[in-house]
Amino acid sequence: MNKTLFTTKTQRAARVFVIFVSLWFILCFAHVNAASALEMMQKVDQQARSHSEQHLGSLEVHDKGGKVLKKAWQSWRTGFGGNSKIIVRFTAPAEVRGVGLLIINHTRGSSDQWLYTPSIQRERRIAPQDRSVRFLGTDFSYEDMEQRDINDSEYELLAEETLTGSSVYKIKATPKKDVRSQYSFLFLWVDKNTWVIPVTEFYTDGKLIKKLFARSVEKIQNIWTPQEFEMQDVRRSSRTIIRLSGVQYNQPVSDDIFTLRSLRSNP
Amino acid sequence: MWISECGMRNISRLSFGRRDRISGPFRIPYSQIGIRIHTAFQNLHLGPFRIPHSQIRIFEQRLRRLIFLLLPNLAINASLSAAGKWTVEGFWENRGFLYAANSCSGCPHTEADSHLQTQIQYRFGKNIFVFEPSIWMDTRHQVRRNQASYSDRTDQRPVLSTNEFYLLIPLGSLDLRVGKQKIVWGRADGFNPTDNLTPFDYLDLMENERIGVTALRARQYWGSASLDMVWIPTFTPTRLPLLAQRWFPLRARDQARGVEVRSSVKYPATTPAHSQVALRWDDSRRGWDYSASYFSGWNDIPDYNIQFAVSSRSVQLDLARSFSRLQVIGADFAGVLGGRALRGEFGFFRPERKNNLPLINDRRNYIQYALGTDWRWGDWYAIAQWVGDNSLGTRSTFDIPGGPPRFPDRGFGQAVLGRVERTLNSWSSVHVNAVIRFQDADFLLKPEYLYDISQSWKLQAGFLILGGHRSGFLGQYHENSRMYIRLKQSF
Repeated sequence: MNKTLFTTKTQRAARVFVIFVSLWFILCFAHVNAASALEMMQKVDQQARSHSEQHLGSLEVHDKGGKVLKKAWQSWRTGFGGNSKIIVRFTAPAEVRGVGLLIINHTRGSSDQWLYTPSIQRERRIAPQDRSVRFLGTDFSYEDMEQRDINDSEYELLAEETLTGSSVYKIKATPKKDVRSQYSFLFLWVDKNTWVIPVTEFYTDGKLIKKLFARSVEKIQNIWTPQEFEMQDVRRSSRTIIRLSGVQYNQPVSDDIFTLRSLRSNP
Repeated sequence: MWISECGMRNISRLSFGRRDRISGPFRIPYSQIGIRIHTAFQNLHLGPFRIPHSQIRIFEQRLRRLIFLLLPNLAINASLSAAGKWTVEGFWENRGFLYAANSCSGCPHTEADSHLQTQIQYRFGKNIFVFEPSIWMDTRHQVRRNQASYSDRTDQRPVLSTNEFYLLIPLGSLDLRVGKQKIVWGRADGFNPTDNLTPFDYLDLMENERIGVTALRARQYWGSASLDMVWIPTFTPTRLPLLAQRWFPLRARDQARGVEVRSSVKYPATTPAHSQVALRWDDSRRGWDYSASYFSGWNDIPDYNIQFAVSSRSVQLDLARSFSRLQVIGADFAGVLGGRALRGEFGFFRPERKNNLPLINDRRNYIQYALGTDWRWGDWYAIAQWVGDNSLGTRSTFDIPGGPPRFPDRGFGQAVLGRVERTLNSWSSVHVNAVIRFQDADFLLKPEYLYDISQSWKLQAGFLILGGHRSGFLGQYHENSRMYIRLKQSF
């Protein structure tokens, strides 16, 4: 009986020990995962970092009926991430030619955005919640067009996988509570070699709503640069393809371009 | 589909601005003849008019001289600049209207017009030369077919006109714009009390256009702040609805039936003392855009001096149009509050007090304001705005008693403007615009469907429904409710 009692006590102690060790291990592992996920995102951020960028862009919106809508623009950026300024000027089609978008990102808080329309000769401040809206009828939203600060989200490493022959990390990014976002969380697949994100999935209220694919990755001025993006809207069964050309990094860009004056003057 | 191009343009088309007319019956003590007349009658435009072409000619001669002075400079700059670049763009828009009712004798049930607008830009260095001619054709006799005009001061729309013709010269932190141009101020949606520099074409009240003015505009920048300075040497009036047309006030048109109407107009002189000036301080800080402005110029809605002559054979009405001075102090803002865009605008109006004419005008100072918000959720977009107009002080002996002011430049009274958009897909959307006036319990409702046929062709179809009390500004046009279709090609 004593032996039985002893055995029972030992077993209980052993169980408690195992549970404690397991919990400790899980917590440590989770911490390591969180830390490493953030480090990975920092590498992604670091790899793509440049003081400035400019490019010519074109996009095609394909609906489920096969109809195609095309638009083209020119874009300039100075700074990076949450401390950046972007101006986009549309060049085609005729209906939107001259329309400009100025985005001033802030490290903390929402960005300032203005949209200028030449036909009414007015710029118009866009409210933050407007950023969930489709950008110029595409499958990208205004929020998707922003340069996000990596500190705006919390990251969790979920798995290591193989994606179209490349080794990737699967990371979950969840916007922090004080950051306004239309998305509940994102799944990111990060390429181990290039630190480019070839696939992103966007979730709202636990449902997949969009998928973003980054392709045609080339090294431009020592920065791995995807030159084709495809955003798929799962709910609408539509997709938007963006192609970049003439990408240039770290070229001198005057700060005067990123002002309301420049937006109004329709350069 | 997206807020700027379609949204703002259509809202502005809905807007009646401070130039909107609100009608209502009251008695005018014309003791000599004892005729009751509708207020709006005195404030709206009767045609045909005899235009003082001499003033227009003087102005056009001066403008030609200015152009000749500028052209050599332009040519030298162009030859020196390797980056000189021409661009041509524009649109061709065709509209058709189908009315259920016949609101005036001779007004057809169907109307159509066609508008070709081209903008030619030449960029050399940082300078930009802009020329925007416009061609109109129509079936509703609003276009004078054998007339081309630069000044655009005629009662009818000329078949060929110049919307804009200016040179933009950036000089360091100063932007200088010289020539005919449209100057748009204000941040509110649909109703802008600070927007007093550029007149409107109200031949069709619900499809109004802007008319450019010849001006010198200098905008000095200090970081995000700027001071906008405008000098308008010549006067351009707002173009008002024509007699015997649908948008002439119904009751006034009925009362004018059988009356021989003669009209004349006197524009402000083209001298420095009669020119218009405006200033606007504009800034953007900490998530808010705001401005304060001052305008000293002319009300582009005319005053009328009315005289009746009764003979055994006919009743004759002489209308003499003239314009009075106006000062406006204004302010506006736009920002984000509680996650929604908030926009507001305010204007304090100080009209000239004339002791002789016109008897019918209320000359008290007044304020106009607009406060609204807009927000999006999913594929929906909505704008809601409250607008108001209040006279200040007591009436003078020269003001007409018997109710609130009824003048075209007095806005909506108290009203709510609204707009709801639903994006269906990348090519199509549904919009509903609405105006509800509380003063006379009348309303406007405008549901429409927009569809992109292709990259360059767009189709728009919808209904314009006007209703409510017949004495109200909108209600009086209840017989002008219509179906419309618009086909636009951009190039």
